[in-house]
Amino acid sequence: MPKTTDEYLRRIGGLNVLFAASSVGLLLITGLMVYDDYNRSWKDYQKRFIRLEAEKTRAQIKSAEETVDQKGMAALQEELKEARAALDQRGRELETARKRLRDIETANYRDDLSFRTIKSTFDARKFDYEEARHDKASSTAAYEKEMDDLEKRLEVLRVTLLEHAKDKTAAETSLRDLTSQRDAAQKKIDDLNAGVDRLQKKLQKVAPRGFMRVAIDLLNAPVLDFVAPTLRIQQVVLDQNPIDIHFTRIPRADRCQTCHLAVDKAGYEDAEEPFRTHPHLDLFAGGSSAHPVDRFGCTPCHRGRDRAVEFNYATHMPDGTAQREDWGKKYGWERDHYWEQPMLARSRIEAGCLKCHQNVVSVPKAPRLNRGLELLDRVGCYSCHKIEGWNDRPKVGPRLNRIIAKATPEWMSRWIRNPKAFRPSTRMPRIFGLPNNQAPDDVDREEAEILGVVAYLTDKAEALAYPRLPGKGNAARGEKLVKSVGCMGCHAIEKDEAAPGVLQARNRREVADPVAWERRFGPDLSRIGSKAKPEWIYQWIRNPRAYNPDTRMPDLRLTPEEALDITAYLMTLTDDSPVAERASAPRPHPEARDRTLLAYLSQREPPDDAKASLAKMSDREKDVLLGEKTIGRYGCFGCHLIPGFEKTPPIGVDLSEEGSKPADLLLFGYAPIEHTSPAWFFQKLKLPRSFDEGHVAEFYDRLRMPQFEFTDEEAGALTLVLQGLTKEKVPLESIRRLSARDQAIEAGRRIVRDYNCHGCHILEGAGGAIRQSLVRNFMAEGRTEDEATSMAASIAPPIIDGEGAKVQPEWLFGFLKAPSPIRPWLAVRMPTFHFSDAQASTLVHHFAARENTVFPFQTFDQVPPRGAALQAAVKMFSPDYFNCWNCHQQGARKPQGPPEGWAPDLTLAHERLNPDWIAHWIANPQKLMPGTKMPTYYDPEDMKGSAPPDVLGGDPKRQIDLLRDYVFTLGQKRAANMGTQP
Amino acid sequence: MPAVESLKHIVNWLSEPSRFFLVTVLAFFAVTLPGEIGPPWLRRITRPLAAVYRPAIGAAVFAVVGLLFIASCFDANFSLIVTKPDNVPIAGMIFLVAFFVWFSLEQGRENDRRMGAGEPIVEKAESGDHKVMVWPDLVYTEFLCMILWTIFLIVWSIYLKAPIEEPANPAKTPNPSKAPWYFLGLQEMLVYYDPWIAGVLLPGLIIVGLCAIPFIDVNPKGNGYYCFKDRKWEIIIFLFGFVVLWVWLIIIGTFLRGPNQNFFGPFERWDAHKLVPLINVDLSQLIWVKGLGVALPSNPLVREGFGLVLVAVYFLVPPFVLARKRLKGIYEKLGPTRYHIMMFLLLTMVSLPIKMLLRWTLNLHYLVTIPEILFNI
Repeated sequence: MPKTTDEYLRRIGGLNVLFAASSVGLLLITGLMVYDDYNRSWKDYQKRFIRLEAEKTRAQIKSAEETVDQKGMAALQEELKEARAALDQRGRELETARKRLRDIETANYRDDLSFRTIKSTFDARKFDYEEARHDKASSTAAYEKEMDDLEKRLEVLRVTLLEHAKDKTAAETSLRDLTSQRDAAQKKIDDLNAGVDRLQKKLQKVAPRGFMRVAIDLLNAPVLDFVAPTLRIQQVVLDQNPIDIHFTRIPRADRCQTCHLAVDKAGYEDAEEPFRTHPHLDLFAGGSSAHPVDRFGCTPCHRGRDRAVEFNYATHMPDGTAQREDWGKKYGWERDHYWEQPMLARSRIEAGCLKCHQNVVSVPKAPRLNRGLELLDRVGCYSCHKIEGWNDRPKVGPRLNRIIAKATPEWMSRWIRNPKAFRPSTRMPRIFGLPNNQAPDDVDREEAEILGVVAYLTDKAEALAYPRLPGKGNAARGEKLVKSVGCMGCHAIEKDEAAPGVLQARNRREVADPVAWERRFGPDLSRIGSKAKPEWIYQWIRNPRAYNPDTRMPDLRLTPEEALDITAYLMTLTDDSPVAERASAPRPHPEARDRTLLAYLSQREPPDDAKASLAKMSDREKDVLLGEKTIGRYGCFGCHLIPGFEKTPPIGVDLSEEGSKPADLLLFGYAPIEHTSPAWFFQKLKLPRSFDEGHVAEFYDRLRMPQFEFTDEEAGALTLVLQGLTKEKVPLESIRRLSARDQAIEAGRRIVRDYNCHGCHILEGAGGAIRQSLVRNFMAEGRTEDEATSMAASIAPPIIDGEGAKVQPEWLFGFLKAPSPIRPWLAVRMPTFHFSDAQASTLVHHFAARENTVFPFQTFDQVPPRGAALQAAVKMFSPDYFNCWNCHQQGARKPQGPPEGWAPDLTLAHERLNPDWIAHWIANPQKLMPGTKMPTYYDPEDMKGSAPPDVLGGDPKRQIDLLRDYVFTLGQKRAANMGTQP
Repeated sequence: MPAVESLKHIVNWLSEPSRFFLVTVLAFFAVTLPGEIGPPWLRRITRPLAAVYRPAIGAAVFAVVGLLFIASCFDANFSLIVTKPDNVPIAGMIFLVAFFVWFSLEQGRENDRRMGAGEPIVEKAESGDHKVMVWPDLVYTEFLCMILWTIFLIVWSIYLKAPIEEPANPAKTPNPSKAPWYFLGLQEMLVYYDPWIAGVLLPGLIIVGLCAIPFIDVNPKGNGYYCFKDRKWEIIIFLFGFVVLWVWLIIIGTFLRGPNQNFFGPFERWDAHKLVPLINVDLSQLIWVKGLGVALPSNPLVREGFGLVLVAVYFLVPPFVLARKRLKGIYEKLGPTRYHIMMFLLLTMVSLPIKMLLRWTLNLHYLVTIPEILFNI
């Protein structure tokens, strides 16, 4: 019994009210909890996508309806109406036929059921019988009898069922006969409407109406949605692209398609994100692409958190400040610091390619990444930084062990102080005079260091005395040679090729580079005369390998006279910059030098000892020692071979996994940039020393990376490469594996890049840079640009795509090893690269693999024409027909036409060309080499009509084969006896 | 505002651990025992502090501290640390602990006053002669509290999401790496003690000691009502262990320990690159090498002799000396077993602040260190 309230400490009424209120509160809060759990942004996206898909389907229905032939439809409707009317008149007959069919089906169902029931009983008895018989039981006979009875009944029923089937077919036929006219009309209408119907069905599925809509809403309702919701997370589980969660590899579960619902569906190219189709569906995501979404998902390339279904949590990364602000407004975007590999911003997506596409010179369809790889090769990042995959690359700078034979100490000091002041386009970065060494003490020290480096190099360099020049060359002839024999494939004389204003603007990165990239392979020759000694130039161009056995500069097989002329010309190319703008020679700073040396020596020994050992040294010794210390500190030996540093390991940090380095392991110092690794890479490339700003450090502890003066575009491309160098280990199943053929092609591409074949030849759609210079030569002669371009094409080195199908591998091997002129009238020469056998084989294999021909040995059937055939061949060669000797050289006999139109010596064809290629070539030269001077004798559209009618019955195939066979006999001494007999 | 900035600087300066600890200990005794300990001039200074136990003034102090806290949230660094979802409850804890400690002391003092004046104590006055019923007075109230608290927790969990961070990486622990909040006191001890003491011995002794309290405490007064005078030293010792050596360490560990386990003031940016000098020396090096100027003896027992003697003296001498002099009454009341257990626990507790002081003043690493057998004190 409750007591009266005044006996309680608390007022029960008040407690009851509080209880009621708090219970209601708890209910409401629980509802809020359920709603909060239910309310996910991805569900809204899925609902929006359903609306989008429905809209799209409705629009498709509308346009499909518009295309339906309305007139035809009206006629068909009329036809149907008539057929129906006719059928109505035979109503009784129809009714009877239908009833008959129904009756048969009913009887059939009944008998079939009996049959199946008895059959199952029979099977069971059979089992019992077999068991009983095996056990020799007494019931065996009873079972046997029962089985017999059942079997008889089954047989009766089986026959009855067969009868029913027969009756049914007959009944169906008579019914069909009655309705055939109406059914035919209906089918025509259905066929006409098929497209619309299919879309209507799709629409009903996408956006159901009526009962289905209510049912689906219920399935998706809060709490009930655990059963079978239609709004659900879409994921692909990628066993073959695991994610490395710190030593544990787990399959990725990419849930991106939960919101990006149309990424692998065509037709949503213009939809608003996140519903847009992948912009390269042929390459990514699409089922038939190289990277289908069910195998590669999204995050293996894009990075980001695979399991996330929320915008921020997925670590979307904005591309630039505008997008960042936009996302901030739209999605409340902020950086998620808790995922080490955030998504790559849109412009940085190519960085994702590199982890799978390794050991290739370039990655297909990734232009910015390829630009980065090209730059990496060119500036030689791997010289100072170990990068896995670039381990055995040659040093990018020239060897300095004989530098005194080449340049003077004065020039060397000017150069080291600021290489770009002397040669704006040089790859050599600036090491001295950078912002972290600007205090007065630093300036003096650097002067001393520059002098020290020069002292060291001159002291240690091998003395190489060249004999005096054997004569005096003609600079005008030399200029002509330089601009025609092929130097301009790898070099440029920039002051001749662009106005100073343009060059300056280029250096300020304001205009596009007027000189082709390939022609920056070798140094700009504009001021070479102020750098190199004439004796050195003469010896160098005659035989580059004598001075530097590793050089990639080829031998153009210059005669002594040619070399003298060229030397004379190059010596006229002197420093033309105003004296005031030149980097002055450093002045000696003995005090700064001694101070610096003392700092170095005191690191290892007490200052007094250091002072004493310093006092014992001569000025020269001090200079040399400071040079050694400076070279060691800045790691000059990374790029250059320097005596005394042959074995010293490079000084840069290992970049093999740089892209995986979390930003908090990078020292940002006080640099005013975003704290992300791409921002840091970019800053490091642009202003490598800027992270020192604000820090207190002794000179030997300061940042050492030199300044390359990269443009934003270049630094951005290199940043991509760095981002792509990750520690991710991709399983072999997912990696791009090169076939033997691909490997052969790639190995060749590596040599093509290393030796700058693109400087002269057009290959794989790129290169031919030398044409730029040839065009300039013609324009200097007063030709228009178009004329000059077409003239340059006729004297330029050939396009060598298809070389594998064109020439015989053995010939190509020999040619690469020791080129012999094919078109001797041309000024430009294929240089001797002194390829090793391995390199030459690799190149031959490259061309063979690209054309899918056999490497390394091929045989060629030869069928020398005789008698009438021989006469027909000679006839076709004659001026009345194809007039071959008008352009083609015939051994020592020069062609009759003008030299611009000359063509290769056909007497060499049998040892050089592939006969199949000759046939293809004659049939359609423009197809094999667009722009060739070789006339097209056979119209590819009308071979038969364009063939000479009076030779071999006008059969183009036979004519071409004959020409091929004939060409193959030319130049062979015993042509008639050679080759296989037919 | 330069004034605000310099105020922040002062607070940051004061938050340096040795200063902060000193201020905390002084404040603790000044507030719990206003005008009762120390020389007369100090008593004169602290006596007015008794005013905080007047509810109106107590509330005013709370309001001022709360307002300062809210104002501090306008500082980016302060609010960044305080509003981290896993730090919010600790911020709440500061006020809750302060309130309940204040409340118990206030009630104790009120009852002391009433008993002195011959009035009935608060508990008695509240219920009169009635018995308070389990139902509804207790159970109903508890039930209502449960519902309301559930509501509060649900709302909290909805609007302050669980702070999920990066996948655990055994090769790269987060910086700073912190224990769960309730273990931050232990983690703080790890700074001053060898892991086996801070991680095993001291936590074990805390539990054992807490279990032992009912058996050591023979004072019958104070059961079922608030009081202070009757159990003054029991309360002071417990509160010192709980508030100063546990809660305070948790607060330090949560709000002031930043990257690399460095100390940061509440208004200071947590800069992972901040460097502080940390060169610690062992007592043996301090005495043999620095003091006596000789090399360390190779025999570990000789080498660590000073430390071993010091530790032995610390634990053995004071109990016996005090039992004859200042604590004679207590010794007689408790008997030798209870007394010595109590003294051991007390000395162990006090050793923590002593070790902290030694670290801060002498950079002392270990009193005894015998790495040969992984033994450090």
